Amino acid sequence: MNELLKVDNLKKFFPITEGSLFQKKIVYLKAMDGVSFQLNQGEILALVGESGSGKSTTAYTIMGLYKPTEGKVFFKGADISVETTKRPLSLKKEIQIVFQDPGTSLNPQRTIRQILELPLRVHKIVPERNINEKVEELLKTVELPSDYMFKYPRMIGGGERQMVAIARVLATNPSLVILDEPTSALDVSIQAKIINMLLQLQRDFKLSYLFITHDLSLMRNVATKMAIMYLGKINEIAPAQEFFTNPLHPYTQMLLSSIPVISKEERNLRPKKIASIGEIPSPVDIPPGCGFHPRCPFKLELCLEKDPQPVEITPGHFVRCFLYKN
Amino acid sequence: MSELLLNINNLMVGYKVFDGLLKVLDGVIVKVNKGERIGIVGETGSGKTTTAKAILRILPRTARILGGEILFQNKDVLKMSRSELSVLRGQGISMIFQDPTASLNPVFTVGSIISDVIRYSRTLSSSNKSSQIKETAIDAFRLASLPDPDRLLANYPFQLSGGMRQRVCIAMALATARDLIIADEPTTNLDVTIQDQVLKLIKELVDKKKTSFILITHSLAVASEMTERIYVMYAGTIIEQANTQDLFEKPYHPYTHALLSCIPKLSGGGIALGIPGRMPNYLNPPLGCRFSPRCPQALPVCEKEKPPLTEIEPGHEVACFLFTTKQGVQQ
Repeated sequence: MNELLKVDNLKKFFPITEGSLFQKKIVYLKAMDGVSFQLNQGEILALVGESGSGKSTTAYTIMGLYKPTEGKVFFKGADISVETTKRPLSLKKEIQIVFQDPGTSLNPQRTIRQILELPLRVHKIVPERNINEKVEELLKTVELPSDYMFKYPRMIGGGERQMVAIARVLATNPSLVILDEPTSALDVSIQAKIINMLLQLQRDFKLSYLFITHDLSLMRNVATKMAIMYLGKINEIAPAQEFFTNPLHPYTQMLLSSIPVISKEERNLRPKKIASIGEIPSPVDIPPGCGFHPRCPFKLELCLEKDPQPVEITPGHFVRCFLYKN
Repeated sequence: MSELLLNINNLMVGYKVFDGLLKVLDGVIVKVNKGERIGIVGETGSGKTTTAKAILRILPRTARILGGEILFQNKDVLKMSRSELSVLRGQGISMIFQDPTASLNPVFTVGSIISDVIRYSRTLSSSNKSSQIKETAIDAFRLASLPDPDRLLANYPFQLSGGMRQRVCIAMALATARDLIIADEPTTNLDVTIQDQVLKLIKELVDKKKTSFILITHSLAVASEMTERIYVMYAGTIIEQANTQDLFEKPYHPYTHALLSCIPKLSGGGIALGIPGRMPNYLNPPLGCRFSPRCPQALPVCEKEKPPLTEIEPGHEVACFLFTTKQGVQQ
């Protein structure tokens, strides 16, 4: 398989000032602390974590909205670890993002047509005279009627707005699409529609997705590869099938056991021996050693002092925990 | 037979807007027995929160009650006087809201907020010493498994995490309510591991105190973990009611079917295509069954008449002509 995106030991620290006016102290919020993964062409990689785990920071750094503190991002083999302003236009066209809330990611003062026209003009996708046709075509791909182009975002429903955001992404024929919780603000019946459309588009346009989410049940039905993030680090990464049948990291097991489900069949799939305790610590004040140890029921003495390195258990299944050895 | 605590009968509520009247609730029927945990499940805009707020009479000014009754311990809440309502809110029913940040006043410490709540409910009954109030507050915090309650009382809401704030709200609700707790999407803003902890806590405490409990949620999965009986709401009407297990194993109503198939399962197997169409406009809702414009199995009668909530199996009620008319059954 062709490697599309490679992230190598990526770090992003945000400086924050603490203390009183006279005793200012700069501390660092370690939003992303050594993240590495690889995304192949045609894959759907799910990046899952709780709020504050650094999954959105990862997405934004890949997009170039943040400059990484350390580490590299490679896209089709080329180093792209700079901000958007320094990226060539041809690269921006290749990587696109869908944000969580279409209510704020679409300009309320523009009609849908104006919203969809902009990327077409900027990247000169079609000649000026064909723009109207192309906008209609885009609306058709996301199954919206073509008279929607005269409407404003506020006039349409939340699900439909997200469809417009997806159409805008498709306008530039990207190869990598980052989806940052695209359905978490929507009802399940609308989510189902959007997810099915995203899967269809992925096949039709040979897209690769980096899917940022906190919904593991949804990812069971969507992802081909899973990565679990906790406090700025990836704890476990595995092919989806393997991940759900054989979750290894205690945090993964805790997450899976916490999911509310509706059937007996699903209930049996949840790991039993682990219960959720504690809360995610502040990323400013990360515990020494393994970041998960204050919540971990299986912690060893070693975990309090040293941070584990990822080990490969089966091909493609990496886990960062001292409980496992090659 | 268990004793009936709350009986909402044919409740109709509308909202006055510029364009006219939004007919939101259209004959809601909900019954809660003593010590029972029930769920009201529906999508955004289906009228779940309006129902909850009507029970406590905390609807916004634009709301109009168009009919029906809400009997709590055989007294109609809709006919209560101000002082009766105070007693109801202070001692009978309490509510846990979706956003704990918005329901705790940011300029007071959590200690003074919870003391106010306790003091207020006490003036209505017995003793009122500040040392006793503090003790009750600490007990309530301890029950809600908040660490170090003594020190916590002096903290402001912003010093606590989201999960802790919601625990404070739970502690407040449990410190005063004797009979019924209503939780409106209590865990929607929380992470999944914290959600699990908070839900387990609520369930344990409600069972221990034998309080009745109404959970309002959009998530069928959360409802399935938390409740004994579920009401499914669609566009301001109750369309199905059953024991939690029966509802998931044998749903009748086409909407319940469609909704269940849209939920992504941990066991995989893909997701259904969603439900076509949109929820009706409340200004001008469909004359008959409100789901009929989106229903794949709609009969001619569905467009003209409202299907009544009818018992099909013991304890399983459905509002759908498919199961109550000859025409439907033959199909």
